[in-house]
Amino acid sequence: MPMQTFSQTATIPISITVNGNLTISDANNDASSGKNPTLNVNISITPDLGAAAATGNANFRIRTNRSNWKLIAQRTSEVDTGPTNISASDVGLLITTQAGSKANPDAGSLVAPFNTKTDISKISTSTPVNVISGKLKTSRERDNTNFNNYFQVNTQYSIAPDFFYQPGTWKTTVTYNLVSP
Amino acid sequence: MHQYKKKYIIFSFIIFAFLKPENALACFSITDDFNSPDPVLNITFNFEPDLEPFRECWSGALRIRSTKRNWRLVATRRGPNPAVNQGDSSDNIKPSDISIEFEVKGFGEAQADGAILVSPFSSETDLSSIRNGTLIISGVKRSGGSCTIHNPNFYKLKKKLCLFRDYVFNTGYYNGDISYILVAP
Repeated sequence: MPMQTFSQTATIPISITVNGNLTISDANNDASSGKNPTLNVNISITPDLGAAAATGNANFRIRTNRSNWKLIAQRTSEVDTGPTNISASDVGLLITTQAGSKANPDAGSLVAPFNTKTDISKISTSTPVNVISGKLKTSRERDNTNFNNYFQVNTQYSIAPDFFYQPGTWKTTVTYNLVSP
Repeated sequence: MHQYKKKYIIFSFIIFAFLKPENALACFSITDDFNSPDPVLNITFNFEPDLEPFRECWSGALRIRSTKRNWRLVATRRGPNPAVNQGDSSDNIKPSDISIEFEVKGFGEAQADGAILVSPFSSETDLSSIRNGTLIISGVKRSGGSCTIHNPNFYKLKKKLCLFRDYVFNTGYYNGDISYILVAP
């Protein structure tokens, strides 16, 4: 039987635009609710003979599909209710990085002086300082779970229980920002 | 007299065919859900990777009408190919990154078992399964007695395409298309 065509084709154009993104999340709450986290580090010390330095940690994860990025940090002026005699240079800072199994471990590298143990006086209160220089996107392969594509930054803060310090509370806030030119 | 009768029958058939073309010729048509013929349905994904929601989806539908029992829907894919982007080619969005899920329903006189999704399109697959002239639906029953675009008897083909907002994809623009053609075997 001959065919008559009223309308024979349908066309589906596909257009995909992938935009750049920079994400920081709490390493202990690595989900949407953990984005842009506030991580409190409370260190309590009592001076003592032979006691080790007290430490506190704040770990966060970076994800970006940009190949040129950096992690910068800036600190607020300290507030001292003692005065405690603590200065920023008394607070040790150790930053390390690690990567999930589907992330690039070399996505970013620590910039001096943060590539070794230092102190938080190196984080300026007046201008942002470079902490990590990122040269690759953080993902190395597809990860449809987001479980293993993270580039993690571990920051550890420490202070010795020195008898020089007087009772009181000393505070400062470090803000880390992920930026891309 | 016999010759006159024969001519009369032929003439009547021609007139009847002229007034009722869908009864004289088998026909088919493909429209969108608004009954527009030869439709163009644009799929636009514009996203940035994120932790959640992780998947971006698009849905659309086509209506197929055929007065013939045997018909086929075939598809041809082009791309999606990177237009402007940077990075390792393995991190470009590939057809296999885009899932596709079809569903067919019959409306009006069209019976659900008259249009059969052919494997692998009978369950969720991805765009790499569509190549050049790939058979999507094997039609074994007509949708009704007419295939004019506003006729209420049709098969509805729903499509859902999804893409993970993966951090690995190279930023930039990708484009391609899928064309569906309704053919008689």
